[in-house]
Amino acid sequence: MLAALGICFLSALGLALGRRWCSRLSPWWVSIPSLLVFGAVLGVPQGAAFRWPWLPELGVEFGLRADGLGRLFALLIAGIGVLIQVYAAGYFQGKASRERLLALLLLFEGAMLGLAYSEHLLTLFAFWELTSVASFLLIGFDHGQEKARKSALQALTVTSAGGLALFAGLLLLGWIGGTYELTALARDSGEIVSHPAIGWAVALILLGCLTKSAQFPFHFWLPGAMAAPTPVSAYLHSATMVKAGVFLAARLTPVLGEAPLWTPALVVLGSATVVAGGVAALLQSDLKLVLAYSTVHALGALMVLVGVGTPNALHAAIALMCSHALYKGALFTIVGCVDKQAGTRALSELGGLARRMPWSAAAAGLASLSLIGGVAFAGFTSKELAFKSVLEQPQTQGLVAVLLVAALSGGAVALLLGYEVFWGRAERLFEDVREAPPPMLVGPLILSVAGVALPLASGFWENSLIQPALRSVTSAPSSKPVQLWYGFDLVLGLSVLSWLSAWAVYRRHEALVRLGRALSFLPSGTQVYELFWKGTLGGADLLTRRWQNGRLRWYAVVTVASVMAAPGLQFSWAPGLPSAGGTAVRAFEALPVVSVVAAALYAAATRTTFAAVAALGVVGWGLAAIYVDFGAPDLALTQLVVEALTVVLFVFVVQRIPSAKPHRDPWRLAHAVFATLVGLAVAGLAYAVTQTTPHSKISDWHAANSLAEGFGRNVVNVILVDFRALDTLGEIAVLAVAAIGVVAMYRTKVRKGVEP
Amino acid sequence: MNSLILRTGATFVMPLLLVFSVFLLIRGHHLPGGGFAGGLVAAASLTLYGLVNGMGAAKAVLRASPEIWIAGGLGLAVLSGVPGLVLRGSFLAPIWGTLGGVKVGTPLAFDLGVYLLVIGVVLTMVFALSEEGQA
Amino acid sequence: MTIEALLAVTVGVLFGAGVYLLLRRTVVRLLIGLALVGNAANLLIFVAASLRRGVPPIASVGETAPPASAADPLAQALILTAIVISFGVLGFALALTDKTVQSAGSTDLDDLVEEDSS
Repeated sequence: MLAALGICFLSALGLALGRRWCSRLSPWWVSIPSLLVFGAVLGVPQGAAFRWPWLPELGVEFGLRADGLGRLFALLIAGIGVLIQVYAAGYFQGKASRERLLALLLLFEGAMLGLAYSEHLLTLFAFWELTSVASFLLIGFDHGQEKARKSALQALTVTSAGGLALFAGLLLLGWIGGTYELTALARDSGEIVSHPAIGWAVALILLGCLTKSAQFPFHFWLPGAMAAPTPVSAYLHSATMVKAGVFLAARLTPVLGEAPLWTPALVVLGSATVVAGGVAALLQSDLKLVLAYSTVHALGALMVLVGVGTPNALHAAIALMCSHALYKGALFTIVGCVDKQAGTRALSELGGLARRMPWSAAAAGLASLSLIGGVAFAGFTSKELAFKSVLEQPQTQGLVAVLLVAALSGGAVALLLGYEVFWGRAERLFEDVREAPPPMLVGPLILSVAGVALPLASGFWENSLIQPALRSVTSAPSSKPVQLWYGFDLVLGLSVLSWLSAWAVYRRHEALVRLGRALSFLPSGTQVYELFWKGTLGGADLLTRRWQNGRLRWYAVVTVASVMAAPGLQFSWAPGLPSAGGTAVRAFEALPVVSVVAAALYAAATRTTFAAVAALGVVGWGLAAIYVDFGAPDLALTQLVVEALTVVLFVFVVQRIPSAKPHRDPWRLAHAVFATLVGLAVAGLAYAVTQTTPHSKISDWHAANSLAEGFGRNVVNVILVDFRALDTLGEIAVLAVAAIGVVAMYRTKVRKGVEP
Repeated sequence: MNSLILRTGATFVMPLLLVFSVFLLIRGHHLPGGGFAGGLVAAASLTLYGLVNGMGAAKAVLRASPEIWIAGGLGLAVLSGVPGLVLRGSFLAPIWGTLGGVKVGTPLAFDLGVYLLVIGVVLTMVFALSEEGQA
Repeated sequence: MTIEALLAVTVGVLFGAGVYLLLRRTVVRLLIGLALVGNAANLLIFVAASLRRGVPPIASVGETAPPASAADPLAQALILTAIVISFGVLGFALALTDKTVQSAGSTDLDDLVEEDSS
C-alpha cells in the first residue's frame, strides 16, 4: 500500500525534476512508474493496514486499510492509470509538456489511491483535497488558454466548497461517533444515526459527495472540465475522480445508511442528475460534451443505487462502477484519438472513419456495445442488476423510470460514438486521416476488450472483485450473482425497450442538437456560478468601501467600539458593581488625582495645541505622584522623565506644523457622547477589577525569590533583567525598531507639497 | 533657549545628570532605578544640553551616532544571554560570579544593554525631530 | 469614597478624553489622544493589581524578601516597559505625522483621505 503511494509521489517528483532527461524516452518507457504502481496495488493483500500517528494531540492519524471496496477501487485507479498514462505519453509525444502532464497524473493517482485506502476520516479528507488540487492543475493544464483557466477555477471552487462542507461533516461525524476510524464508526452505526445532530453531518458530507461527483445541481463544472486534455478527461472525469463522491457515499453506507436524509437525498438528487445529464447529453454535438453529460447521468444512476442501499442495489452499483469505468474510459480515449487524427470533435462533421481508423473503430464498437448494454457485455450485466435491485422493493419501483432514462440516453450516446462516427455518412471524406499510434490504441483496446472479458470470466469477476467489495459495504449477501444471461424476463424487456427508444432518439439526433442550440438561452449552472462570483466580489467591494473608507476616525471608532463591546455589554446586562470594600482616600491623595482628571479634560476641550501638550505633561506628573504614593518609585521616576521627553518631542513637531484652519466638525457632539460611554465602560471595568483580583501567586513567587535567586533587592528590576529578561529583550527590540523607523523616515526625501 | 542662566545651568548640570544616570543604573538592582530609568535620565540630560547648546554639541558628547548606541545596547543584551545558553542550556538564564568581592552576573550586563539602547532610541528621535526643523 | 473607585474614575476620564481626542480631525490632537490612552492603560493595569500604600517591592538590607504589605512588583515591571514603549511609539507617530504634514501640506485628516483617493 505504502509502496504504491510512495512510487506515485516519488516518481511524480522524479518526472517533474528530470523532465528534460525523460523527454528523450519513448512513450512506453515513461509509463513504467504507473506499471510499478499497478504491480504494487495488485500485491496489496486484503485487510492490509497501516497507521502512523500524525497529530496525536488532536487524535489525527494517518490510517490506511485495504478492504474489499478500497482494493477494487484502487485496482480500477491503478489499472486504468497505466493505460491512460501510456495513452497520454503517446498523445503528448514530442511535446515539451509531456512530463509535466505525466507527473501530475501520477500525483493525482497517488491521491486517489490514498483515498481508496483511507481508514481514518481525516486521512481520507487530506487525500480528497489533494485530488481536487491535482484536478485543478490538470484541468488548467493548458494554462495559456483562458477557458482552461476559468474551467479549472470553477471546478476547484465547486469541489473545494464541497470539500469544506465535507470537512465540517466529517468532524461532526467524528465528534458524534467519538472516533474517526471507519471500522469503529460502522460498529457503532446504530447509536450514531440516532444522534440528534446526525442530520447536519449527513447533509454536510453529502454536499461534499455531490459536488465531487458532479451531481445536480452542481453538475455544471464537469462539462466545463472538458477543457482539460483528453487523457485527463478520460482518467479524472469519467473513470476515477468523479467516482470519489460515489465511493465515499458507498464507504459511509455502513455508518450512515440508516441515517435520516441519507436515502431520500441521494435518490432524489441522483435521479435529478440522471434526467438533467441524460437530456443534456443528447443535445450536444461536441463529442467530448456528449461524453461528459453521459458521465453525469451515469454518476447520477450510481448515486441512486447507493442511496437505495439494499445489498442488491449496492451490488449493482459496484458492478456498474466497474463497467462504467471500462467503457467510458475507452470511449473518452477514442474520442481523443479521433480528435487528434481527424482534427475535429463535432458530430456533424464526423462519419465513416472506420476505414481509416480500424482499430479505433473496433474499440469504440466494443465499448459502445457495453454502454448500450449488449448481451454478455459488462454493461449488460450491471444494468440488469440495477433494474432487478430497484424492482424488488415496492417503494423503489418508481426508480425504474429513472434507470430507463439513463439506459436510453446511454444507448443513444453509444450509437453516436460507436456507429455514427465510424460507420455513418459524412459530408467530407477523411482521406488523409491515419490510424492513431500504438500507445494511443493500447488503452482503448484493452479497456473495451475487458468489457467483454470480465463477464466471460464472471466467476472471477464476481468472487475476487465484486463480492469482497460488497462485503465491506454491507453485511448481507446479495441474492443476484453476476451472470452472462438472466433469461427472458421483465428486465430483459426493459432493456429491449431502452434499445429501441435509443435507436429512435439517435435517428432524431440532429433535430435534438438544433433544439439544444435553441434552448441555450436557459440559465445554466455555469451562469448561476458566475452570478454568484460576481455577487461575492461586488459584495466584498461594497463592504470594503463602506468599512475601509480610508478615514482614520472611522477606523478608530470601529476599533474602540469593538474592544469596548465586551465590558460594555457585560455592564448593561449586570449593571451592579461588586463591592468588596477598599481603602479610604486620604486628603492629600485627592490633589494628584484631581489634577490628572482636570488636565485630561482640559486637553480634550482646549483649542490651543500647546495648551493641550502642556496638559498632557500635567497628566504625566500627576500619574507619577500616584505611582509614588502606591509604592512604585521606579514607575514614578520613569514616568517623570518620559513625560518631559514627550513634551520636548511634541514641541519640536508642533512648532513647525501649520496651525489648523478653524473648521466646524459636525461629529463633535457624537464623538463626545461616544467617548463618554467608553470612559464609563472603562471606569466600570477598572472598578470591577479592583474588587475581584486577589494578589497574584506569580507576584508572590517573584517577590520571595528575588533576592535568593536574582541577587537583587529591587524585585521590579530583577523581574525585568532576570526572571522575564526575554520579554524585556523583546521590548527593547521594539524600541529599536521604532527608532530605526524614525531614522528611515528622515533619511528619505519626501516630495514636498502634493498638489491638491 | 538663549537664557544665560539656562545655558550655564544646562552645561553644568549635564555631567552631573550623566553621573546620576550611571548611579541609577548601578543601584537599580537593589533600589529604585535600573537600565530604563538610568537611560532615560541620561538621554534627558543630553536633550537638555542639546536644546541649549545646539544638537550638534550633544552629538559631540555622545561621540558615536545614536544608532550605534542602539546596536551596541541590543547586541550587549543579546550577548548577555549567551553564557546562560551555553552553561545552563537556557537563553538569558542568569550566570553569577564574584569579581573582587562584588557579585556580578549576566543580568547586570543585560541591564547595561538596556541602558545603552534607551539612550540611543531617545536621542535618535530627539535628533531626528529637532534637525528637521532646522534644515 | 474609596481610592479604588477614585482611581477607576480617573482611568475612565483618561480613556474618554483620549478616545475623544483620537477622533479629532487635527493630527496633533490625535497624537495627544494616543498618549492619554497609553497613560490610561498603564494606570488601569496599576489599579488592577492590588493597591498598597507606600511600600515598594524592595527587600530591605537584612531581609530576604520585601514585606508582605509591599505593592505588586509584576504589574510594575509590566508598566515600566509599557511607559517606555509608549514613548517609542509616540516618537514614531510624531515623526510620521511630521513627514505626512510636510508632504501633504495639511494637518486635517479628512483632507488626507481625499488626496489619497484622487
